[in-house]
Amino acid sequence: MPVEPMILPALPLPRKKGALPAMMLRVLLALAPVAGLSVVVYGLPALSVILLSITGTVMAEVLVKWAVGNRQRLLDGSATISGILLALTLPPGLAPAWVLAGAFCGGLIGKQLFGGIGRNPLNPAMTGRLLLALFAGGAMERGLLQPFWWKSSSLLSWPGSGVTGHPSPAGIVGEASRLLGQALSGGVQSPLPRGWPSGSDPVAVVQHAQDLLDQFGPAGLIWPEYPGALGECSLLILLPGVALLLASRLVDWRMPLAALAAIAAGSLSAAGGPAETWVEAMLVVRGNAIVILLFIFAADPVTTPLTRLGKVIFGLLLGLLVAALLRFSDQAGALALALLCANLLTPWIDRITLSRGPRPVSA
Amino acid sequence: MASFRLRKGIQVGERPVPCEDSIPPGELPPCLILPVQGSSYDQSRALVAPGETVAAGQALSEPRGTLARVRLSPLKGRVAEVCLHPVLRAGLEDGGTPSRCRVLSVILEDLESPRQSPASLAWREAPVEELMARLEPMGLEGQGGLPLDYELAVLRDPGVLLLNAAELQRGQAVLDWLLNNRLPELEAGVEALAQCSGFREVVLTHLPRQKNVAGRFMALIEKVLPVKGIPLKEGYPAAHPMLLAARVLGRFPDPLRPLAAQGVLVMHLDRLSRVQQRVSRREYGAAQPVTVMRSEDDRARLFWALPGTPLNWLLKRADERQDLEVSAASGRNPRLVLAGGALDGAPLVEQEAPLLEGLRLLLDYPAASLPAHREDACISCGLCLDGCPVRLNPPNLVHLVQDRRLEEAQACGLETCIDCGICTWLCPGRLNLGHVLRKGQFMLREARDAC
Repeated sequence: MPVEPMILPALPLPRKKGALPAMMLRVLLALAPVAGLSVVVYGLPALSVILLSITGTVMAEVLVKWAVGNRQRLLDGSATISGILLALTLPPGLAPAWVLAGAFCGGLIGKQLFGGIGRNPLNPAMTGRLLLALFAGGAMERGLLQPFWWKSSSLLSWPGSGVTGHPSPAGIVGEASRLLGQALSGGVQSPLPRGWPSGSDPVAVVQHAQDLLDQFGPAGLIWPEYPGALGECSLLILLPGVALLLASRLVDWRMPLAALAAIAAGSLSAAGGPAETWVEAMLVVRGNAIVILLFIFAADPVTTPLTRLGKVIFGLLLGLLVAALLRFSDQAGALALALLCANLLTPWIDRITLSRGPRPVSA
Repeated sequence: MASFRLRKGIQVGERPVPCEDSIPPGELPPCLILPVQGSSYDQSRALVAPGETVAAGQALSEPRGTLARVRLSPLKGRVAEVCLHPVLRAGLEDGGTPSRCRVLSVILEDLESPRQSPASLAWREAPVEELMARLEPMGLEGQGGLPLDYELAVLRDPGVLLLNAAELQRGQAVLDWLLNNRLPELEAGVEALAQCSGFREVVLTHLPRQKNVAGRFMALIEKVLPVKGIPLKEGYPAAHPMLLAARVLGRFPDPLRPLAAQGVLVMHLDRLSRVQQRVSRREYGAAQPVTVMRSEDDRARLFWALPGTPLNWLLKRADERQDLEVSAASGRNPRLVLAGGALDGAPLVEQEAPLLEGLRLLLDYPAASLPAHREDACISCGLCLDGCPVRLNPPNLVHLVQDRRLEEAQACGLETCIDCGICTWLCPGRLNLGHVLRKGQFMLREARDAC
């Protein structure tokens, strides 16, 4: 009988509490308040988007694991989290087919095709978000709903039934800021978009642009005042979840802090210049989305660097990308693109920050 | 209820003791199974043949190769067999599939007391240089594994005596029992140690919840030596000897040299209870305390057993107790026994295995009550990197070992892994990182031996 090599048994069978499912549960808890508020604010369409999004990512996971005979835990909670995260970036009135397709493709292309959890270079939720922005930009725009559904719809309003095609706040800000800049420099190009004062009177254009920009005050960060994605309801409701993630060390504070510093530096560089109005308004309109991006999306350990230094570098790069996109783009999916670009840099950051051998030991 | 005052004014009460001394210390098992190989890579060969009578302290094998150990007979007896015998199995690999591990073992029968055999213990009188000269060609490596006498001989003077009372909750029963029933032996052990080696410092580690045990023990040894206490937040992994040694030395010890040779003698309290026997009375074959615990009531049954005692005999003795219904009649078949001290833990599917030195706890748990061992994926959380005391990159090393790129793994510090298991402890994906690293170290040594 062949003798197997004996390895002396000295490994601990006891494990520290907090295995993968427990981590996932904590993330779910962190996301629950904002998801709950979005259902209150937008009604059944929001609930439908969340459930369909989860269904799509879970379907991708189940299908691929079944197809390739993966022996790992079938449902570890990561697909559910990806689904909720994607839902938080979507407008509440997005057509169900698009939600399902986006979630399925995001989970499939962003995660499962690379080998599932632990091997994906891209954040699956943001991959889905970017795919939807590319292929269903119009549907995303049409899916925006006014907050507080009971003001404009019946109790049993269903996805799509109350869609009124609100323009995206980022689009409004972008357009208003651009025309304001042109008017202030004395060269408004006609014809102006629909809804703007006819003729090329710079004073009227400035007045209209100011009116448009004034509707996006900082109060919109706290209270849902204008249409947006599910996760952009309120900064206050995000804070407990963010605090939970930071306290349980699921999110390393260095990364979002570095990113916020880079965004602040990028935004301050526009101060006093022609882009000041644009950046200010964009920060208000996209403030909640940025918080979700930095504290929840970018906290995905798989797609971010391993070391603390790596996390800081990642945060700085992500912050600079976000600041650049805030300055130059009003397109939907810009933040998703920033995160995915940073994700792609993760292997490079790991390579330069991970030492080959044992690192110097301090006493 | 008596209470004890610790330093810094902390006053704690006494805790009820759940142990029972169920087997008389003098009782001998029917046989002893003494593995003479540290691993199946070990090329040690037996020096005795079946039918031969051996004396206590007589060498049973000639150690060869890395990880070989000095194996001496603990008692006088007759060699019944020299064979490949099952020992503790490797661990949890391939989703917990059991693997049979056999190493060369000498089985002794017709055991005889008294255990003392002064004629065969002449090697103890050899000077330190001679002892080390005998040890080094054997290729002994690692932080421990040396007989106490060797450790005392090579201990750099003045050294630090590190008394490790920081155990997991389940191991505490032994400490309680020792303090209640073996107090004179512990005291004599401390005195014996103090006499044979002048320690510059004695450090006692303990968990905050064990203040009672630690307090009583501190009060005990304060009579003999000045004690410094180190409370630990949690038993594992902070209670790993290398990490404790790093704390008392102020630097990280060389993981490839015995800790004793670096100035630290780590003693568990149960080992301390045997010190007097070994050091002062020169007795060999000292029994070690082993606790058997049931999952249902968490009550400890304490055995004093010789290393080499078959575990099934120990469990049978536990079965014979009316209040210990752990036989197959309880419907738990196969019974799974977890072996190890606070820092260890391996399922013993093979109950023919012998009790090894250092094994202090047998948890008799039905397999179904254990957490299922299921490995998830590495999610690159970096917890193992942050936790590694020698600052290795475990996922990278695991990747290299699994690809059999051992030279690269060596360059990345595979050999400096101290096998503390912290990476495994921390991993949220429940990956057996430490196990793979240990395997890699064995493969590396095997390759080196082959060269």
